[in-house]
Amino acid sequence: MVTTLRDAERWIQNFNRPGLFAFTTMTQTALAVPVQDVGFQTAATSGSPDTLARLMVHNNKARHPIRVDLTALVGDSSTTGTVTVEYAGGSSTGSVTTTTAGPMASIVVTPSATHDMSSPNEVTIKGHAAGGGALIVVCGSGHLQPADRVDGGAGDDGYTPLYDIPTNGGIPTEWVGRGYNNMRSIARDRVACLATLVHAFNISRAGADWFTTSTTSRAMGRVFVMGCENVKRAGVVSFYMGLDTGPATVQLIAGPGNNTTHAIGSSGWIHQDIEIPKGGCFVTVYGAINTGHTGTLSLLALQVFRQGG
Amino acid sequence: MGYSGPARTQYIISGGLPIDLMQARTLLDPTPALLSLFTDIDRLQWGVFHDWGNPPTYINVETRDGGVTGSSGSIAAVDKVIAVKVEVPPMVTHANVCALTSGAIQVKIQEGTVDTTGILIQADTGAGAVSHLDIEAASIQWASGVSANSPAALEARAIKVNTEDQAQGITRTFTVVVTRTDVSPTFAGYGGMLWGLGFQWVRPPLDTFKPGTDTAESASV
Repeated sequence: MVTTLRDAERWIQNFNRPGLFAFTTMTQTALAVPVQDVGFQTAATSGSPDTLARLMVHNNKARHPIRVDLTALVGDSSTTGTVTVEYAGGSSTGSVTTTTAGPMASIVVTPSATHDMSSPNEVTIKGHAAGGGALIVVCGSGHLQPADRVDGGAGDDGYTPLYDIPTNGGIPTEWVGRGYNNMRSIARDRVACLATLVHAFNISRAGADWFTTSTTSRAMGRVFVMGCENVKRAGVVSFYMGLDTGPATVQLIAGPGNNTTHAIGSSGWIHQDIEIPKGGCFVTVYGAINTGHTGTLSLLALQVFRQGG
Repeated sequence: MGYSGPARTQYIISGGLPIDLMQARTLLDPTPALLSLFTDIDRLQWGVFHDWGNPPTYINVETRDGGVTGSSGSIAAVDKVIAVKVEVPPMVTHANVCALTSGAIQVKIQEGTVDTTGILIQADTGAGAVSHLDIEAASIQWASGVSANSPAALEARAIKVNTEDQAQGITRTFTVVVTRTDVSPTFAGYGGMLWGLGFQWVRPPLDTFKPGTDTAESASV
């Protein structure tokens, strides 16, 4: 039984890789326009790559690398597209030269050993192209990618491998307690994303539903959070509002009992704790420019996470 | 005997596994060799690699149907094809899929590696000229009517995403075809929007423990 628990825990340490985000970028340009936009596009040069998407990762105090998988293409055969993913002080790139959409090689980013992991960290996906054509990212996803670990003591997440159990020896009391606490540590540090919404950060889409200049509040985006278990859960919504001038007011409604208003004066992330009902709920963002002001407000990213405690 | 921290409680499926609410446990010395202490570890392991660690996921799509082609008397719907990439957790063989839609559309979802048959979701919510593109009129439709709270592990109702007992997670790319359903040979219809897709994972029943470091499942649950 001891070796069973030990091996199962090693497997969990290696392969419990909660999804951090998943997105497709084939979004509409405007409700009145039936022709679809295609992907996150950029023809930026290498010296000034475009920020295509911003996403958020909670916790990960253990500094596990994140793996990002993208499907992409370039506009013509003479073009090389480059995607750069940045996360927690780390950065990694991948390239694409195909003119039909296909999977890129996975991009793995390791957090810097000195980066502050005590608060949520942003994942930035940037792109540029060389050769005259455009880089087009069609869809993508990301997850934690922990490395196999059987020694090394306690990590910053509290996890300490069980592999030091003596052969044919007694079972230390501490070992039994550690086995209990390790699962708790992993569960709390690897925060799974329940819903993802991302719009291109580099392309203005006047008329789209996530984009408003009005002083009348309107729905700018909605996601569905499925019930995870049969009890209510603590969750957190992280969403990024773009605002050129303002001020603006944003309202977040996330199922019964979660209705919060945020006054914003500039672009940036907002984190809001919510309670996820046992059957799940919709999470909807409403927004408007404040009366008497002008500006452009856009919902550029929204993720819902289950709180790790 | 004993330990500090919360009292041990039975794991009750209807109540969920409250890993997020548990406090760290410190066993005192000496502690009797109770089997329940090992069972507690096993239950937490079971929880972490099941719904707690790999919960369902929803992906914003936000795309209209493909419109129509032809003229009066020969109008036909056109498919809109998009791609969605999803992280499939370990031990998952199927996914129950739901779609948030408005208007009159159908959504066909295929996975090109292990399930080329796919599933079909047909929806008619807020159809017509007024609210077919209104996200506030959108509603969730499940394939074959599978509930969010009690997903049936029936292959006929879920899309296959992996082979049996896959110890590692895998990234799958799904092909999604959005087609309007209120079109006739003489009427172009209004169509609708696919706002997003949800994937609820279905796992086969747990086997007993299998030797090896990458296929272990559970000691006792």
